[in-house]
Amino acid sequence: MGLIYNLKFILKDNKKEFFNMLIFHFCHSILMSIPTGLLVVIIFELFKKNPNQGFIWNLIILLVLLLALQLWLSAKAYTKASTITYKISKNLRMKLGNHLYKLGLGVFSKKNPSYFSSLLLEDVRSFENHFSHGIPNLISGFFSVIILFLFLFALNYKLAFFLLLGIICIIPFVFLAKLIIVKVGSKLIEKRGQISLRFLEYFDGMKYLKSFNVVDLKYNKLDNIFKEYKKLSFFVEILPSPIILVSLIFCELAFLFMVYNALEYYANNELLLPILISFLVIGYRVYDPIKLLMADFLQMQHMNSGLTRILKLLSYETIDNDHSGIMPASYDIKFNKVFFSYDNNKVFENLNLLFKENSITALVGYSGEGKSTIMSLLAKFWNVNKGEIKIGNVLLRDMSLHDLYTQISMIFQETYLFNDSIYNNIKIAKPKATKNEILLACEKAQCISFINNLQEGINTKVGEGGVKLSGGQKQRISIARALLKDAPIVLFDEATSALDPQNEFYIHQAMKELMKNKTVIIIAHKIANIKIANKIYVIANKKVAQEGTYSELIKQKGIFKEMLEYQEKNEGWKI
Amino acid sequence: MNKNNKEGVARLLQIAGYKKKLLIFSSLLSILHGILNLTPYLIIYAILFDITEQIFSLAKLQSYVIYGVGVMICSYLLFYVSLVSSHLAAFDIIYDFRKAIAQKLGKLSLGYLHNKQSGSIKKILIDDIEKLEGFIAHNLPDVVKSIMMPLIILCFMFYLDYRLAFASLIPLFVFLIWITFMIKSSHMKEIVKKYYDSSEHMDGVIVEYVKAINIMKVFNQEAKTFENYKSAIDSYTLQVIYFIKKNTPFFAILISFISNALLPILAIGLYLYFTQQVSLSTFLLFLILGVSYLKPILSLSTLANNMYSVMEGIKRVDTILEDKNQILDSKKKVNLKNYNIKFTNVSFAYDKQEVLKNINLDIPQGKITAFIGVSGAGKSTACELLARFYDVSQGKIEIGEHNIKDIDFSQLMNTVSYVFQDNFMFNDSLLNNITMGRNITKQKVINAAKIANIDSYINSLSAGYDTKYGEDGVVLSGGQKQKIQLARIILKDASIFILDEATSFFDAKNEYEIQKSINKLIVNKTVIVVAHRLSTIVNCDNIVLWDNGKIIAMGTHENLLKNCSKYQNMLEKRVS
Ligand SMILES: Nc1ncnc2c1ncn2[C@@H]1O[C@H](COP(=O)(O)OP(=O)(O)OP(=O)(O)O)[C@@H](O)[C@H]1O
Ligand SMILES: Nc1ncnc2c1ncn2[C@@H]1O[C@H](COP(=O)(O)OP(=O)(O)OP(=O)(O)O)[C@@H](O)[C@H]1O
Ligand SMILES: [Mg+2]
Ligand SMILES: [Mg+2]
Repeated sequence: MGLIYNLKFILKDNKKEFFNMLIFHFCHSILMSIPTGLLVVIIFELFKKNPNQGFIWNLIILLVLLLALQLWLSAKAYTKASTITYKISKNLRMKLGNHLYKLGLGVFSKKNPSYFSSLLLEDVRSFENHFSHGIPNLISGFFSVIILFLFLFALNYKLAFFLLLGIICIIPFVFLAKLIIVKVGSKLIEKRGQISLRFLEYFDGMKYLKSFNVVDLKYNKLDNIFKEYKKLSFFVEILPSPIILVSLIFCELAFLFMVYNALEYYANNELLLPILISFLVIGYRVYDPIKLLMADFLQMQHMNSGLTRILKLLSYETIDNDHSGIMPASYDIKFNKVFFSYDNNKVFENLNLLFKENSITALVGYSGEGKSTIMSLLAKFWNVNKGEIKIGNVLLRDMSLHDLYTQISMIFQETYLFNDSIYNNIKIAKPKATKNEILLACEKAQCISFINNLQEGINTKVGEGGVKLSGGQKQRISIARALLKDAPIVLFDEATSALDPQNEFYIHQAMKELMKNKTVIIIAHKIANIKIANKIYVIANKKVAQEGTYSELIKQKGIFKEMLEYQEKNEGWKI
Repeated sequence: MNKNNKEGVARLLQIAGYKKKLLIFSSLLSILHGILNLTPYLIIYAILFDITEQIFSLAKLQSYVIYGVGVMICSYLLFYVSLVSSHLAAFDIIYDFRKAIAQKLGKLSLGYLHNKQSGSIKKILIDDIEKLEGFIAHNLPDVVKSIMMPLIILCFMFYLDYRLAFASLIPLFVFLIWITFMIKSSHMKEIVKKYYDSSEHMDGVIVEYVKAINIMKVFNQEAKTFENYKSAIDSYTLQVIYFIKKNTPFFAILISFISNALLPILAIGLYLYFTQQVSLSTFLLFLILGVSYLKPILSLSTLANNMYSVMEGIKRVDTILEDKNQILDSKKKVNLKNYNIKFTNVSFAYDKQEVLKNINLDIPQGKITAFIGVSGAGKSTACELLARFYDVSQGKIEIGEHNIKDIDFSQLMNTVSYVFQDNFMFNDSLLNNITMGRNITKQKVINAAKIANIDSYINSLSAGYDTKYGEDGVVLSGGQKQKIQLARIILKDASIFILDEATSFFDAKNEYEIQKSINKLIVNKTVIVVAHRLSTIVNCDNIVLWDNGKIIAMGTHENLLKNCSKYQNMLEKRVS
């Protein structure tokens, strides 16, 4: 997309400030050009028979004053430009973050997380770097050129035209260079994304690479990408530069051409000496801003590729809506004829489920049958393809994410903790929670004893993802987090899979307590863990295979009984 | 990438030294380009001189102009070659650094990696190193040019008229004073450091935010409400704006002044001209030349602005490269007679706190040993020590009577197969996820997948084993991922198996079937199973009960059931 279009979008919320900054830069570029004008005046005066010295000295004093003003303006203008840049980048990062929150997880499975983080980081950073210098330079350059040419045309339009010719000649070259930059540049950005993806994987999976003795293999892959990136970066710099240099040569040639003709005019007495001198003295300076302008314009293309990606992400349709305040009257949850597939992997066909409030419902089934998917659908990570999900009397799709998530508390099959203290990790469930509430949640989740054993107690940092804790400790923290939230709908996906029997036992006690007046859905492979359920659904073959209470199901022939038998076989002894 | 304790500018020069020849070549050409680019000024001078001395000859001057055209074309050619060589150098150096970092990370201990955020390291690898490009490819040749050019021009100007030459030096002095003042007064070094800290932190948080977006969602943590995200960005912005407020005005004034520094020459020149001490042509020439030598100097000011930032970035790179947290590799292949494992007086602490306390344990080959116990007791830690992800603080661990520290690291890794408690999948085909990128025949992979009970699922996917995981591919369920992990180590077929909660997401049927086929596989191997599910461990030959970093009991299920009250307790106090 075009630079102008993208900039317009980015500047939407900061228009006023931006124009304010533009005015400062405009004034600054005028002040930068005035000395050149006054220089012409002085040269004219000097070539008079009797130059008026007093007049000239007055002009010098004026120049000193203007210089002071110019410096002041420049300080202002550049500070404004930088400040506004970072205000915009902050907005962008917040906007992108909020937007990601609202997207369905479908978008995330199409692209790797590192794609999004590199948007938020490198692309926004490229905007920061180029915008703060590029825009002011473009503006000053642009105005300076115009003002200088106005002078020159006023002095002698023919000579000025020769100079202008140089600029006209370079325009196609600049655009050619731009094309190349956009083309190679977007490849470069893509490669950079790959580096970031491969590197994060290399970093996060180091334990695995080491234990399979394949660090070198993975490293070689990374190294290949580094190599390709090196080559591409080189081309991005080196391919367009002959074109840029050719246009610089055009500038030089145009100047020399102008001089060549000026000499002829002068020899033929068609040109006054002071005008010749003026063109010689200031003619060469018109190209300085042009050179800058060109460099910055091309730099902007790098920024623009990033902006295009950012805008594209922001234009992805969200699964959120703004119907805020629609709250269900009850918390019965109903799946009605639900069809769902991940891309072309059909997971459900005509799934019907009812989760009653004030009760516990369990989902069981063989691995990969779609139990976790049911929870994801309920948490609106994905939209169903057909059919409907209702909470109470409200359709899930009519609820805003914010409203929905205030009512859901969830424990994921795979635990993730933030690189922050235990305290803060729990607190995100309820930002206004008091310390006591948090400690209470820890106690219920059987965290207290191990937390007290840690050197910094509840303020211990857990490392990225929670690497510095044991598997069961991580899981207990995520349980504490879910308990703290105390929402009317509770989803537990293998919530105690990493716990020893004793901890599991106590946590189950706490859960039973908690779940009295909630809609609770649990997934567990250990049959013992789902005995407490008021109702059990067995999921198989893309729909419900069996349903009923524990005692009903063990009497039926079917998957449930089969699973139970296997479990007894595994244990080799009866409970 | 050795550095010998150099820091700051010295370090940067040292880095540039890695590609000395290219850079010197580039600088020489760049100077030559600068000199040739003076041609138009000389032509202007010739014209002015001829006119004011009234020896104007059109033909002669026009021929100068024609020569000028040729010279300028040559000049830019030289410049191009200079650019090419400086970029070659820059990108080579950058590449070498990236390589060095990646290599180093592969050698560092896991403890080091766990203390870092992937996003922060990524920033160093991608953004911080990239800054070298500007420094090496542009700033460095520019600096050489901006030191040499003024010298050349100044010599010429002193030759013409020393007073005007001094006058034209004034802006240079102002520049130098100003820049020293700017660097001193704005505490660049500290500010840049803080700026780097805050932006590294921000990168870490953002990478995490994106990774855990589903948790963010469920806990209603939008960017605007998630405290970490917001405060990271806020503090970054605050830091930058502070930096700008301190630094930009100085910088802006400098640029503005230098790009328009006619005034001193104009004033002094006029005075000298009016008092008839210089000729008009000399004066006019100074008006042109006297400012032009400042142009290259402008690039010096960008350098001043960038340098601290480049230096800070390199410092961060260097801290990674110099970290001593490496596992020492004996590199000696040893002949392992058997695969019995022996822990003798092993103690270990991640930080200060001891996690394992004086552990003595024998794990015989050909038997299955189970680790059970309270979560956080140190079971996984004991296994990780065995795979040398960390080294013991005290005592020793032996395999086949060789201390694992004396065994070649890659031999050790080939000996030990480890299924971790967390599942990690690579963004690659399922085939490569199972082979871990090694070159293994497909038939073997399929066999392993069959044993892990995942073959039929993979075959049901349209691209089969070539299906990509992650980006534009499939995502697997918890149990399916665990099966892939199992297939990985079945394929690896090492002598020692460690299964840390390898089947926690399996349903009973899968567990049964997989256990049956694995049992055939592990005959005569040393197997450690860590599990909480009793069903997984009741049949093991030896059960080791862990509590709080110690072993409190050992024996078969029946044995423990009879003799160990803790064990009995565990069986009673469980959900049933
Ligand atoms: N994000 C996703 N994108 C594409 N396919 C997916 C995704 N998540 C799961 N699947 C697929 O959908 C199916 C159901 O997965 P789900 O995670 O719901 O199973 P599950 O019943 O929870 O299994 P488990 O007991 O192993 O956790 C699986 O075949 C899985 O490969
Ligand atoms: N990388 C680490 N840095 C610091 N401390 C750690 C680290 N990993 C584990 N610990 C601590 O070491 C102790 C033992 O952890 P370990 O993972 O060995 O327990 P575990 O017995 O495997 O427990 P679980 O059954 O929950 O997996 C715990 O208290 C944990 O907090
Ligand atoms: Mg699941
Ligand atoms: Mg563990």
